[in-house]
Amino acid sequence: MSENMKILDSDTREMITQFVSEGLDSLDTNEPYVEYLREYDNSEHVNAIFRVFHTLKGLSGFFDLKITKKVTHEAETLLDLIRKQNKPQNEDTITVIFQTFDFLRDILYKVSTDFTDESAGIIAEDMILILKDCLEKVKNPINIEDYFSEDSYMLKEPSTEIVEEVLESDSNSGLNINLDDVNEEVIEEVSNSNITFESEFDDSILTDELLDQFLVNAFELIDLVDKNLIELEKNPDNTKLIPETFGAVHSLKGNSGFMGLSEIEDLAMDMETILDSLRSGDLTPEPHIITIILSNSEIIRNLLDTLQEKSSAHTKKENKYIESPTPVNTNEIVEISETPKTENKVQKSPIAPVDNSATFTPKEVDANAGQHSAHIQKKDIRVETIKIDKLFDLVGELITIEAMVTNNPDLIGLDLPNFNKSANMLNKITRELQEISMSIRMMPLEGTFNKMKRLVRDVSIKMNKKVNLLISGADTEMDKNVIDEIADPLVHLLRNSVDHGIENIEQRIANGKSEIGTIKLGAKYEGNEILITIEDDGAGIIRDKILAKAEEKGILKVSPDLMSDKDVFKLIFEPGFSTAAQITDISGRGVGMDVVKKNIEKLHGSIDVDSIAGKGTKITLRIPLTLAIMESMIIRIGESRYALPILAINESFRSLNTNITVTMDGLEVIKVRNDVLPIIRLHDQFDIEPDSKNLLDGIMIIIEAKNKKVCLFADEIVGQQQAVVKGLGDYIGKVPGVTGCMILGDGGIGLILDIDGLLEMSENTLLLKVS
Amino acid sequence: MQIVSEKDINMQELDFTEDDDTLKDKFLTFKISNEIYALEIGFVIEIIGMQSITKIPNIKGFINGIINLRGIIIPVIEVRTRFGMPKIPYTDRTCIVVVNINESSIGLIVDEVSEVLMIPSVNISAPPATGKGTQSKFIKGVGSIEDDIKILLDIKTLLYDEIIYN
Repeated sequence: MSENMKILDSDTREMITQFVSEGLDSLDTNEPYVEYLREYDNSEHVNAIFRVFHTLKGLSGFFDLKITKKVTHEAETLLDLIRKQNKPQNEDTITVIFQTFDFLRDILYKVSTDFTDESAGIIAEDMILILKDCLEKVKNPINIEDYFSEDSYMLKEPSTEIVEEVLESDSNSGLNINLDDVNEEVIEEVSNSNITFESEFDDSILTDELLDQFLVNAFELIDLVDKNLIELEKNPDNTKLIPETFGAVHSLKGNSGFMGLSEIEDLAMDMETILDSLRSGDLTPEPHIITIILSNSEIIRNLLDTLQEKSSAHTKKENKYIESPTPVNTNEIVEISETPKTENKVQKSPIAPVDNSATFTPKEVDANAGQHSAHIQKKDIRVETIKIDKLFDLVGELITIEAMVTNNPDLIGLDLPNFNKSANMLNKITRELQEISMSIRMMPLEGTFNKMKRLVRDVSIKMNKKVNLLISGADTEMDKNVIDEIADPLVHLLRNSVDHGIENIEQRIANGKSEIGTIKLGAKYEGNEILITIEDDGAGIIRDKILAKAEEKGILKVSPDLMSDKDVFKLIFEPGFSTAAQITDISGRGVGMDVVKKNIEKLHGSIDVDSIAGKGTKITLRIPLTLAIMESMIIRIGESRYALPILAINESFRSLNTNITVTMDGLEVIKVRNDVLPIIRLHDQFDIEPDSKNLLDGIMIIIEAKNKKVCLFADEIVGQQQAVVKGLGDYIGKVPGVTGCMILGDGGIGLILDIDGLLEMSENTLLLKVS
Repeated sequence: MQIVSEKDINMQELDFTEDDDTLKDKFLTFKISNEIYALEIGFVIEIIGMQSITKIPNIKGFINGIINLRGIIIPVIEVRTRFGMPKIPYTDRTCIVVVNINESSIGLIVDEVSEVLMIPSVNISAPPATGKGTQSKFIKGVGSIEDDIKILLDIKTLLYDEIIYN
């Protein structure tokens, strides 16, 4: 086999890439289960983890990734042992398993670039030693020799008719079935053999959801197998089909093994054995061989059918139960629980999660489960993010062009009722298209949050603290790109909470707190933003300590008397700030927190800190749902047009002479009801020749962000437009006061005002003038 | 948007997807103040007519601003300004040569696009050592065709080198 695989054609590369991405996915999704190993009833989770290793082993063997296979083999053996023990595991074991996850992740990254894992050889030896060591420790009272001898005993029995048949029919051609492989399968078989098909099906561990997913997947796999085999029979030279078929059968075997469906597993195993021989060239795809495999797949299909009938009968019952007491559409339930204000938002903002039929959340799948009758339809597909980004870009272009057509200057003054009607329809469709393409990119925060569990666990063990992380709102959805950006800030913030926030055990007891600290990580929608909160019940931030430190570091710009508590707390995000008395290897180097600020600002988000000394700290991140499209107000200053995010605008009006005052230091302020706000003349700020410099001629726009307000002065408001936000590009770089640009209805370009930047600028001039 | 294909330039020759071989030794020449400059054709994506430029406040002087090229935002620089020459009003011959460098497109405003030329590498000599003034920084070499001399521009310095004029 290795001979064939050395030459990597593009198909194989693609398959390896897919293997890596699926492998990483499965590591990520199953990692949280490792925590459960310390609990009593852990079999469900052990099985899930076992399956991760098992699948990786099978596939890495298939792709000739020897090192990955070795490591996963050890890990699998360990998990198998744990599975047999069926008892809570200690922290050491859990740490080793976490380590294995990390290690496999690293290996997979390597594979994704090198298409081989050979470079990991040396570190893999260490990992294997660790695993073996752990295995020894976990080992159950049964003597290890017994354990193996039991297997070798079983080896004499298990070969089913077909294997024998193959062996017989091909004994001359030197068919050599890898005994090790068979051996392993046997171990697995043995461990499952006491679970019968029927009893397992009724077992509560196997949820309907799981079974449904298995069935969908199994039907797909078996379809693929049949299709390939028939193709192969017609065209025996097309050996490319064999690996794919093998992969499908192998997955089917693994999945059914996991589901405890030993009949299917056995059948698949037999098929696998033959396919392996086909792959290695020990067998040729003769019609009678194909028939043998197909007859197995036929039996599997029948078994699956029976299973599905039972399953739908089962879920129908469940459904009735849900439906009868509350005559509400299940879709609606999902919607309500996800976003209390969905209805509002769908109309107001295009960015809110739209119609649920378009969001591919697992929940959605649940809600519909059981509605299908005979055949299960595929409900999700894997798509490369590049394609989605491309689609999204195109939709963006479409919106721009739509605006260019419908607001075309040539149309001004014409009475075009029919055109307008069509234009409205076009507008409606483009918006809908945009909403849907947006919702494709929406992903629940769950994955990121799950990683945080692991982080908090690691850090708290290192710091010798006890911390309980409570997560809420993990199903909150955000733009995939935004999620990627907030992972780092969350890591820093949580590290900081554990390291600096939560006191050590003695201190907590002395302060009359529970010795286990609590950190709450939550997410929820608020308007067009997502609020992510990190709240700890630790020591809190002491104002004077921060101020003293800031003074020492020379980052205090304003007199402390003028600063609110919130302003003081925000100093921790300044570059070069660190209050930890002692630098630990986890946090406290005074980098990190300013990275948090930078990343969040990059997302046009903001950070708020609330803290009560002795009680705890709450950090709130406000992040726009998506960056890509903005509802904006277009204003004009001279010949230039600028765009303002609608959300930042409070009000706009023409000013009257009476409410403008010039302070003695030349600062122009305007009185609006009870507020006195500084005026920013945009033409000065951007060095543009305006229509008029007289404040009474132009328009005043009050903008608000982060609880601060200023008044902007421009020539006029041109209109309102929804547009795709574009960057200015690396060549131009960062421009003060501008965050990007957008294409306007007439094809011109509007620069997007940097609201936070403007507020900061006004603050600085204010401070300059005050001091 | 006016494409300058009628001016002796076969647009097909400007196709960026052509093999390296066919692009080898080919140069696009353009005029600034009666002087002919040449640019390796491999960098050139397309040539467009002058269009309205959106100015960006508070950026480097030689960056004129940005344009909207079929939905893509492209920065444009004025080659004259870059050479330290005075601005002149745009005419109907003024063009923007869009080049691609480091995966981003940048537009160069030139007085006039001339032609696509073959200059074999044997005909290219090093820039004159006596070159004084800031302009010489942008010269990659001098190409001669018969009796004519074309100044070959170094596109990277032209776009990225920090030069401060008095």
